[in-house]
Amino acid sequence: MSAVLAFDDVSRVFGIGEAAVTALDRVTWTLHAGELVAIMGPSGSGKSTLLALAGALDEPTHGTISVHARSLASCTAAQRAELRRRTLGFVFQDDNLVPGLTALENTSLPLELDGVARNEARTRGLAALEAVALTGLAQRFPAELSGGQRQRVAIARAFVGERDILLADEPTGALDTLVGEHVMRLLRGHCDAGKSAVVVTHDAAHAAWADRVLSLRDGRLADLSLASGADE
Amino acid sequence: MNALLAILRIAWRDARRHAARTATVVTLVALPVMLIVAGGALNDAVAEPHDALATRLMGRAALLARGGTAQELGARVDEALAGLAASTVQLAGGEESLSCGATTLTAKFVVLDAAEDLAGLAGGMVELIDGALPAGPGGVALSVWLADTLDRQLGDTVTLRDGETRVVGIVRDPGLLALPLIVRVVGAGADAAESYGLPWILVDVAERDIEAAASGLRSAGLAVTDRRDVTMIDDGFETTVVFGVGTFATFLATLILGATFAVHMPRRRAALALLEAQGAAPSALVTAEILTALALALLGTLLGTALGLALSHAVHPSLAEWTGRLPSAIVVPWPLIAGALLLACVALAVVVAIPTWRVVRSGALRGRLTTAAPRSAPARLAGACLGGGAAGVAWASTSTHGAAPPVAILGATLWMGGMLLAVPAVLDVLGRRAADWPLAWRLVARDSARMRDRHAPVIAAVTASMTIIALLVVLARTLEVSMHLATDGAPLAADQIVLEGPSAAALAGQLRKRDDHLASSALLAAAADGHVLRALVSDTSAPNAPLGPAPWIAIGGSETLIALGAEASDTTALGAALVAFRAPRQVASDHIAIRLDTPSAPTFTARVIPAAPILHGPALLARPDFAAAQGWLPTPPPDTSLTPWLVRFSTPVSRQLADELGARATRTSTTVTSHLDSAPAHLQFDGLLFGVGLATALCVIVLATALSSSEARRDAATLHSIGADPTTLTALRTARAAYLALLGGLLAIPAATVPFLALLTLVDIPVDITIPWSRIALAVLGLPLLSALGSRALAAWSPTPLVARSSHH
Repeated sequence: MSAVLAFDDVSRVFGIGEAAVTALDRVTWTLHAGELVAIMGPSGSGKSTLLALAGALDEPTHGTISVHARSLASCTAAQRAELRRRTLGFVFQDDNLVPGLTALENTSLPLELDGVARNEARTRGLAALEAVALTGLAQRFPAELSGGQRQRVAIARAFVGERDILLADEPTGALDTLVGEHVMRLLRGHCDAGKSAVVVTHDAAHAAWADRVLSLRDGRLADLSLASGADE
Repeated sequence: MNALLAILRIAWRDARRHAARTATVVTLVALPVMLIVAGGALNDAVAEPHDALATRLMGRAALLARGGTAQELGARVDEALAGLAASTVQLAGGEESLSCGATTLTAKFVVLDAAEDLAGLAGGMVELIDGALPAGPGGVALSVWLADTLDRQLGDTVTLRDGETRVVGIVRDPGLLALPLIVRVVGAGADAAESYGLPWILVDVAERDIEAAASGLRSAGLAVTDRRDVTMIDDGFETTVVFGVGTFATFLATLILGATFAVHMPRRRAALALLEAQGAAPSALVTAEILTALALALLGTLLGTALGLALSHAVHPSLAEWTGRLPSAIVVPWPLIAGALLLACVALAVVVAIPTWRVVRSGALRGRLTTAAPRSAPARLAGACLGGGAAGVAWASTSTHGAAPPVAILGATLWMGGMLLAVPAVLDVLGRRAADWPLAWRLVARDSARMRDRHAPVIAAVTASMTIIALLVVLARTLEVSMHLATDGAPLAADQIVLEGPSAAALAGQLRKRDDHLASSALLAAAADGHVLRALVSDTSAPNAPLGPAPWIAIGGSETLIALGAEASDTTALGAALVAFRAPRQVASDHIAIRLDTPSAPTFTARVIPAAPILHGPALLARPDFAAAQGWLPTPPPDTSLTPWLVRFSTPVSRQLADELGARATRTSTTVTSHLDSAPAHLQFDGLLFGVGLATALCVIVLATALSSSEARRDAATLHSIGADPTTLTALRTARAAYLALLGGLLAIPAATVPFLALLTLVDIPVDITIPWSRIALAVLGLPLLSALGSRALAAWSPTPLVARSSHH
């Protein structure tokens, strides 16, 4: 399997001097194509920081992060934005939909931002909504959807544009068990189709959907339970 | 009470915790207060005290009488005061040239019969600085400015029209520091004084006889100024204007404050919900919020007062130079400060009480648990206001009923209120129709609709400021056009120049030597009874129905006529004795009727010739012999202290000539105006008004955009996480500012229409309305552009932190 995302000796320190907090400490790991990786760990262990770094939303204090063998350190802000539009998809715990846009507009937003013609963006957005069984609610605004529906729209938005890597930060945290299962099934399906995903979760049942589970504690990848072929 | 104190303590801590917001609120209160305090203090400092004004005009006299020649005046005054214990002093005022070496200047003249008059009844009209007042015809006293400009000192000589004279004193006009002034004592009585210009007589009479003396003088056909009238002049107008401007600024600040509190209230809702959950009474919650707001109003007023007084003291040293008058000391304008405090308290109480009460009434706790959308102003109420306002103004504009003016005011107010109430509904409609708009505009329109309760006040502020500025500009332009200050869009023809100041006559004399010189003339106005005459112009078929404002009448011959722009062939028109340069639009004939604005004045007929009146120039010209026959005397035109000169050339005035004249004139404070100078005064004035309006609206938008940046931060972070590049995020922020500005500017057009009709009904201007459409279009399009640029600059200066959203470290 080819590596799509690689962390090499990555650290992230917030603050300086005595107030410095090490959120990630010399982390090295690799995400392969078609792989679903779950990251577990207590609050404050650095899970979200790891995801932010993986998504090119933040920069490491030390080490190298590569996407498709291309170092993020060599990318400009515009290039990192392009990566997020075309390669990296994000799903957050609280969906993070733009409240002023309909479900369809939210879904096709990355394509619109990428300069795709509006009609084509909507067609592809509608296809992504169909994948999460929300076609009938395409014209509703986020405030008119339930929590589960909003999260499925967020996943559809992350799927759209055939992006290779999906980064999900506790996507099932605010959902009931059934809806959470449905979301994990969608992510699994995405990876089975040859794409990759990283899911941060507290729920061992949801982590069970993953190919590998990484455990983070105090900024270190301390445990590779359930892992087969892990890098560290 | 204890419960209220506890809640108040929490509210006050909240204000301190959100220091940036509190500082914004205090600043927004302080700025209008600063305007009011500084404006009031400076106005008081430059306003001439009534007693000082009376003394400058008429010395220590109780009455001042004008009319006729010096001899006639003296005889009529003696006759009118017969039997009364009165004393009089006769003076004359005019202007004259004086020379010193190669320099020749024009100066104001005050001529007295005896030097002791200036220490007696005429005391205070001029102030002796050095030397002595002239004791007789052998000496003169010069003003400080004149002595400095000519480099003359006591004992030096200057040349007047009747020969060389020694400088014996240096004086100052208390009202105009830079006035070139000569005081002379002729000693030979009225005949000598008369030759210098318009005579007047100061009358001192016992207080019990003042009425009888004034009545007698008026009965003798003289123009009389009563000292008591001068000292009782109502000077409240300037104060009212200062307070009005401050009130308008407070109104704008209130709208921004409204937006600030609307942004803040969703966060405050959580704290109110907690207090309510603990058993706090809703009324106590509202009261505590209002009391906190009043405390902020007090703080803002104190800060504004301190800033206003500091500004006044900073500006005070320059007042003498700017106004040409010695200012009095800065006095704290307590009544204005009290008024400003009241305004601030009312404004803050309203903007705090309304959102707080809405939160509390709907149940703060319930509101915290649900995300119910805030209620907007009912569209039905807006519709009712708009309909009622339009109907009221429509009725008032066609009715002659006594109630029409108040109905017009009420209608305009209702219309404006309706427009402002309609803003949320407009935002809602636009938000619904934004589906096919480009992404940034779609997002902005939807956000504005979703959060219309906090965006509507911002748009209302822009609309209100642009509406009022548009009204003022249209009114100013219309009035100025109606006063014949602009006809062809230029103050002067290309071949004319106007010289104003002490060197005007001398420069005009030098220009006569040029080959392309066509005509030069002093612009002298006709005066009678000590006043510049104004003519009421009408159709010859209806001489008692004046058309338009009353222009002044120039006195001059054929050279004046040519200098004013007439063709050489038109000089034959002077056979008609009285020439008009333009007839009112309503008159089709080549003759118009002229009647003076004095009682029982005869009617004359003026021949109309096709020449455009110049800026500040006359609209009528009287032949000198005709003027003399009517008893009209030549005097400087209105609003000038020295007579201006008009010069016309056979070729257009070149930049080189204008610059050369300007350089020669500057040394003596003389101005040279030609077609090469900037836009006409009216364009500069309404341009200034527009500038003020745009700057105000711009501040409102940029500030409001900055205030709402926190609510936009979450969406920006989301867009960032899904791949929006920095350019897109900046575009979104600039689009937000541009959208608010564009909407505010566009709404100002209908918002201004009905109040403008009401204004016309109230002031009844008898001329066509001139609407500067190009400026309005420029404002509507330019404001969004400037707002976008301002917001973009602000975004660059204070970028939104985007990473924090995904890093819960």
